[in-house]
Amino acid sequence: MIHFNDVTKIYNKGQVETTALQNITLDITQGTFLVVLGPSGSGKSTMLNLMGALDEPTKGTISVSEQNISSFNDKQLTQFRRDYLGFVFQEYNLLQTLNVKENVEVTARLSNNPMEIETVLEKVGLKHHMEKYPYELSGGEQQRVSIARALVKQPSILFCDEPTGALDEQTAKEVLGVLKALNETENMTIVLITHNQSLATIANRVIRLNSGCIVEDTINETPSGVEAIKF
Amino acid sequence: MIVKHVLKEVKSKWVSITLLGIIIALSSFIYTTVDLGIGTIETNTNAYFDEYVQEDFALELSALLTPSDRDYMDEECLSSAFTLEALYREDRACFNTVLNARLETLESIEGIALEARLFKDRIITSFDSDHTVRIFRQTSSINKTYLQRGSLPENDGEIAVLKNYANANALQIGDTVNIGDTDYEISGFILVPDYNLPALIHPFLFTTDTQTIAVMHNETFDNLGGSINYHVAGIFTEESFDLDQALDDADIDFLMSSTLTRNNLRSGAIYTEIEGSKGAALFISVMIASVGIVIAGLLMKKIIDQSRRPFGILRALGMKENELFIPFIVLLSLYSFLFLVLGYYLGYLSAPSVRDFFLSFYLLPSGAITLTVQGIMVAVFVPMAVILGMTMVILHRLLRLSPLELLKLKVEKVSKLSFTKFKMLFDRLSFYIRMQIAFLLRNIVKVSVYALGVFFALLLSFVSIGLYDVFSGTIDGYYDSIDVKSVGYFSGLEDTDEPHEKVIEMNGTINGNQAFFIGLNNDTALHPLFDASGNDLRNALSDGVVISKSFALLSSLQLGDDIMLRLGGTSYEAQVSGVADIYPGEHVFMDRALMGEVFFENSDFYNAAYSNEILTSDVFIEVFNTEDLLQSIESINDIIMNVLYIAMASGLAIGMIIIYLLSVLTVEDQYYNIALFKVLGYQDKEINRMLLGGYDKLNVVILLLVIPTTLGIFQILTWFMANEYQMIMTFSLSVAHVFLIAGLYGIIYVLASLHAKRKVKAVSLQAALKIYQR
Repeated sequence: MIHFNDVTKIYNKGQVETTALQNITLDITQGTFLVVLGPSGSGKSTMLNLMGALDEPTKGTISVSEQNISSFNDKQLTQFRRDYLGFVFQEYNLLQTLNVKENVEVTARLSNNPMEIETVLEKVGLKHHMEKYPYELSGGEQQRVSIARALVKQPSILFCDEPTGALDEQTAKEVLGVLKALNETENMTIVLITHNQSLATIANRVIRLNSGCIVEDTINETPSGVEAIKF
Repeated sequence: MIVKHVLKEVKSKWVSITLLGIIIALSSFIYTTVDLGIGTIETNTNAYFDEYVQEDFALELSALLTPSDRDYMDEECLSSAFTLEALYREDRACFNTVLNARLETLESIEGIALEARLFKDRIITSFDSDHTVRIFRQTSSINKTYLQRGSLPENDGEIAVLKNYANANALQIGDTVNIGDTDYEISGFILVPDYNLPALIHPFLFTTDTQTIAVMHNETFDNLGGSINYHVAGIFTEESFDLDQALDDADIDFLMSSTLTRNNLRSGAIYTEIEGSKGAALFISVMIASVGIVIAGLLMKKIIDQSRRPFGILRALGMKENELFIPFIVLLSLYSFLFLVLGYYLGYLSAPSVRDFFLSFYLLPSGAITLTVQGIMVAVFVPMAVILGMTMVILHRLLRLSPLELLKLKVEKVSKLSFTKFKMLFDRLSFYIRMQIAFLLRNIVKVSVYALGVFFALLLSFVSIGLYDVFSGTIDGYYDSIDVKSVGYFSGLEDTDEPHEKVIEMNGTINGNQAFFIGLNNDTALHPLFDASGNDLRNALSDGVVISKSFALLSSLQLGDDIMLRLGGTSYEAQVSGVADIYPGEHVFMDRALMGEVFFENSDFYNAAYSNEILTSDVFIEVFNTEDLLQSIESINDIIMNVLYIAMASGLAIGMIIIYLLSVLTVEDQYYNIALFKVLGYQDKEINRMLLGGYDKLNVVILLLVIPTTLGIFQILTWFMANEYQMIMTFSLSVAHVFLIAGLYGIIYVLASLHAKRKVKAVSLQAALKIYQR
């Protein structure tokens, strides 16, 4: 589903060159719940940006759903994100001007086959908050709106960048529960990036990054439920 | 550290901040240029008029000798002369006796002082074309001669002329001019407080290229050939003196008319225009400054908001509010002071040009440009205080928050406008329209500031471009509208074979306001009269008095008003039967037969002729051709238009800078939304449609609102300038102007949006989300 072939990403800031990812080769299959772990600056976000068609590699090729996205132009990358991908960010990244329903509607209309907005909000437990604005919701609720927004267009792959980073333990477990259920019931590919080691237990594949290189890639045959996570 | 932070912010917004500085500097520049340039003339003129005793009023006396005149004339004085002018030629002593007797009779009215103003109009023949000179006999108490350079004529054969005339004809002191086969040496340059050069040939023909005022030694004047003309100049020695009433009560048979002349066309001429120009410039600079300050406030708020997190960190580290506050204020003070002083300095440098420009056709004394404390306060310190005050409020509101609150992600609450009542309708709208409405109405404060800013910027642009026809539409517009090529003035009821229409032209008053009466045949073919709707008003001449639009504005009269006409001591009540859509000044029109009957007891009376051919007959004592007038106006218009073009360009530039800044600020405000929509999978066009589409529609609405507002402002300005300054200004806004401004605005808006979007495109989408969410 996702294929990295010898991917390197170098950032140039002035005369300083920083290698964020180095010669990464990787395959992720459909239905995988992948957790990417690593300390700050290890290249996790860069990897997500590249997989999520938000950035282009300096070297190597990236294929997603058998499309070589590393050769896409800006317009094609945007169309690709529109057709296949969903995102959930640590800071929720909601549109403050729009209410919950409208935030979800914004992505629903990008899909040819969107879920019912009310159904997806019910799924994340926010149907009764539909008319509220983001600032009227708690952090967990906002993150659930963010998930609903990603889910409503039924993406093939869901990218989550530290989705529980700003949440308390209980809320974090609720959010992860939603993601886990989606992976299991909808066979949705989920790529979750975090520095929190304990989240590794719920994934069926775990990659550890350090200094832009994969230092560990393990398959977890028996992932646990979210209740088992110890923050 | 905080200084470093502010400087970094400034660096990232240098284009906007520089443009803002230009607006600040321009507001100071315009005010200073006008305050110093015109203010200097105004101050000098006031002193000049006081010291050289400008007349308050003028009395026109009968040219014919009256029975009461004859009472003063002894047996020896009797001659065949029946006009004062003839008496002057035949018996100078007798002329003086009659004139002094008339003055004595008039001076028996308490509360006024008088002096005769004698003058002769002659031709200077030293040049390729004839130049006209009005030579005054020097006075001793009223309208005294002001010497600008050289000396007043003390000997026979000397003459002093206007400096502007000398400059225009490359004449120096010591050069000679020829009048009636005699050479006169120029002894000096002079001015007179009753500047009536404009009335020399025609009220609007005031070019010093071919005309001058002059004085000679009084003996030389007396010996000079040519007809003598005169009026009586007067000043009030009592306050609140009712001249009309006093003259009515005195019932003097040789008195024809009286005119209040202080600071109007007959004396001072343009004093009020100077005040008017100053007022208009002040209005424009205050408008620019106000909009500039709104934009300054927006930019400051943006910079300060972006300092929220650094402020939080520094406050958490133990920095006091003042330690953050003071560097900001000091930097802003330096910045605004720098641009305001720059504007002031440039204004100081350009003030002499403005002064000299005015003095190139206004005959007033010059003076050195002097700086005033009040001027510096208004141009520099008042706007600086407003900008600083506003920034202090914004800073204080932010810094009173706790460090923790400052460090938190700022979540802006939306304006939750209730759509409950319109929900059904709202939900039926297309997705994009709903998004546009949501992004506009739920950010109502920011959008209101944007809308107000654009509104004022467009208004400024429209008002600037409306100056295009502000003067040219008045006089030459009038002469374009009639078929009169030549006007000849008769000395009596003679006639000529040349084709013409007989008319009466006389100065009089309506409701106490000076007016120029024109008696037309009601079937006149040469002088059509139409109202603003295009209706022919010639028939209205039989029903009352048709007034020009300019006179209606100057005297606040309208159709149907009852008015009192006064001419040569006769009063006549009539009604305004039409308002002609022309702006020639104080023109009012009557049926010639009625006018002759009422004021001259002769329905066949006339004193002038209009012709669509050039009149040449000797029967005319004076002929003026409208073509000459239009040429003179054109040369003056060229100068005025150059100044107006500068004013228009400045106004347009400022308006467009403001629109650029507002557009950039608006797009910058949308950086986060742009990045997020892009991440979600929206294409650039769709994002533009959603986020900026609402602004596009808002801009159209603002444009549609600005047009009627501009027209309303033009009406108010026209009325204000006419009533307060007796100036007729014909502002106009054509469809082409609207399209020009809208086009320019559109281009600037698109360029600004593209420029602003480049910035968000320069960073990765996820980075943009993180940066701009804060």
